[in-house]
Amino acid sequence: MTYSVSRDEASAPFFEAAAAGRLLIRRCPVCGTAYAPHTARCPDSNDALIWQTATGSGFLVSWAVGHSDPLDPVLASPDGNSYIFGLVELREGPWLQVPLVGVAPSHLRPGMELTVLFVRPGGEEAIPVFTPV
Amino acid sequence: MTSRSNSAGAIAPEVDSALSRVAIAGLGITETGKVYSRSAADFAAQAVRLAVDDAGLTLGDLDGLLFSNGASGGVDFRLARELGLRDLRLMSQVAVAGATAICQVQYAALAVAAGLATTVVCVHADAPLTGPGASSGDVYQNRWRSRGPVGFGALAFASGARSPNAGYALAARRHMERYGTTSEQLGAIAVGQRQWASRNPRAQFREPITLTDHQRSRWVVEPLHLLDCCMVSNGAVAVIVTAAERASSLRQPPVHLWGTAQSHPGYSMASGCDFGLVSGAADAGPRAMAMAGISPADVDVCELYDCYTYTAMLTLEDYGFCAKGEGGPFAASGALAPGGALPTNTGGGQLSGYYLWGMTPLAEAIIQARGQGGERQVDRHDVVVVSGNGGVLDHHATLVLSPLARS
Repeated sequence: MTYSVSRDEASAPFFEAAAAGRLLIRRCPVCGTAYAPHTARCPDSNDALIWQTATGSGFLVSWAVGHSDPLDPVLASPDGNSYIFGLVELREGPWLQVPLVGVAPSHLRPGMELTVLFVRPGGEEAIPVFTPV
Repeated sequence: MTSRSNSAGAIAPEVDSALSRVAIAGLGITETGKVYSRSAADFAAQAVRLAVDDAGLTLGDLDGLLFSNGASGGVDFRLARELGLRDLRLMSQVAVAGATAICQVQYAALAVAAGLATTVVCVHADAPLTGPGASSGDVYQNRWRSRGPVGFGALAFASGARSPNAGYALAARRHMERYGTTSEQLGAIAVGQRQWASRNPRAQFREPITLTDHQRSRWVVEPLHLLDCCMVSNGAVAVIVTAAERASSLRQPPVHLWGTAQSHPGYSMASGCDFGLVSGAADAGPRAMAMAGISPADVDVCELYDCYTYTAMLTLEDYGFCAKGEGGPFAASGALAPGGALPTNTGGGQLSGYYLWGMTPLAEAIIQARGQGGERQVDRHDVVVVSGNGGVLDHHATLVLSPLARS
C-alpha cells in the first residue's frame, strides 16, 4: 500500500507552503508567541493566530527508532531497515514531531542542530522532515 | 501563561473530613486476558455482580453507577438496564484514559461524602481482543490508523506516531539522555514485576524472565523493548464505594480512602516543556499524600500505572520516592521486587498481570490493603499508593488507600 498525506481545509495553507519549500507555523498577533502549525487560537488570549514562515532551523529534543519499514522509502534511515522520528524544537519555540532523515540513530544527540527539508511520500503532498545541519 | 494559585487546590476542611469517612467495600474482577466471544458490556455486568457479591450487598443496594470504557468501547448507560438497577441517583461515564479508574473512585467518594448517593459502583471493561492472532499492537495501531493520513494529524502519523508506543518512546529517550537512565534499569522493573506475577494466579505472564530476556526482546519502538510494554487484555473490574461506617458492617474489610488528586499538565510541547522528564504525578502525588497526611517514607506498597516500565519509573521519581533522575538506579536496586524496600506492582502490573487500564493497579491495591494477596501478600500494607496515567503522560491521578481509618 502506498502511503501519502492529504490536506484538509484547516491544513491547506500549510501544505501549500510546504509544496513551495516553506515551513509555516503560527503566531499570536497580540502576544507574539509562536505556536505549532496545528494550533488555531492562542491558548492565552483566544485570539486567532496568523501564519508565519519559520526559519526551518531547530534542535533535537528527543527521538525514537522504528525497526520496521517506514511509510515511504524517503523516510527510511540510512540503513534502510528502520526509520527515525523526533521532537524538534524550532528556533521560534514550538516543537514538531517529524521524521528525521539522512542520519544514523547512533549519531543523534540532544541539542543537535537540524534543518528542514521537504519530501513527498507516495508522490503526494510535501511534508517537512529534519536533517542535521 | 497565567498560573493559578496553589491554594485553589486546597480542599475545604469539611469536604476533606467527609472524604476521610469513605471506603471501598467491594471488588469484582472477571476472568481477564484472552477471553474471547464476550462483549465489554457483558464483562462489565459480570464485574458489577462480582463486586456486589464480594461486598455482601445486592444489586438493589446500588444507587450510583460510574462506568468507563477501554479500547473497545461498548459500555454505556444501558448497563444499568442490563443489571436491572433502579432508582439510581448518580450515573456518568468517566473517560480520562489510564487515569479514569482513580477518577471514578474520586467522584464516587465525593458523591458519597456529599450525600448524593450512598453506594456507588465504578466499573471499567474492555474487550479489544477479538480472537486468537489479534495482537496487542493491532488493537491500538488500528484505532489510530482509522483517523487516516489527513491534515495535520498526517504529519505526526508520517513521522511514526502510529500508536501510543511512539510518544512513550520519545518520552523515555528524553529521560535517558537527560539523566542517564538505561534500558537495563527499565528492564529491572519488568524482571521484578514478573517475579511478583509468578505469585499471582490471575497474572497472564508468570514465567520468570531475566534482564537478558528483556534486552533481547524485540524493539517495539526503540528505546522500548517488547518487555517494556504492557499487554492488552479483555475483562472488567468493578469497585464499590460507600461510607466507611457502612463498609465496616459488610463482608470485606473496608479499604479507607486517605487521599486523592488529579493532574492534567497540558504539555505546551514548546520551548521549556518538561515532557518526558516530569509528569502530572509530580503535582497529583504530593497533593494526594498531603491530604492523606503522609510522606513517601510512610508508604508500604505502590501500585503504579505501568503501561511501560518507563511510566512506573517516572512516577516513582515524581512521587518523591527518589530524587528526580534517580528513578532508573532506584528501580535497578531491587527496591520494587519481592523482598525490596518498596514493594511495587505486586500483582505483576500491566506488564505481566493483566491490562485493564487504571483498574489493574487499583484492584491490586485493594487486595493488598485487605491483606488478601495470598502468596504475594506484602507484610506491611497500612499505606498503599495507587497511580493512574493516561494519554502520553497527559493525565494523572493518585489515590492513597489504607485498611485503617485515617486519623
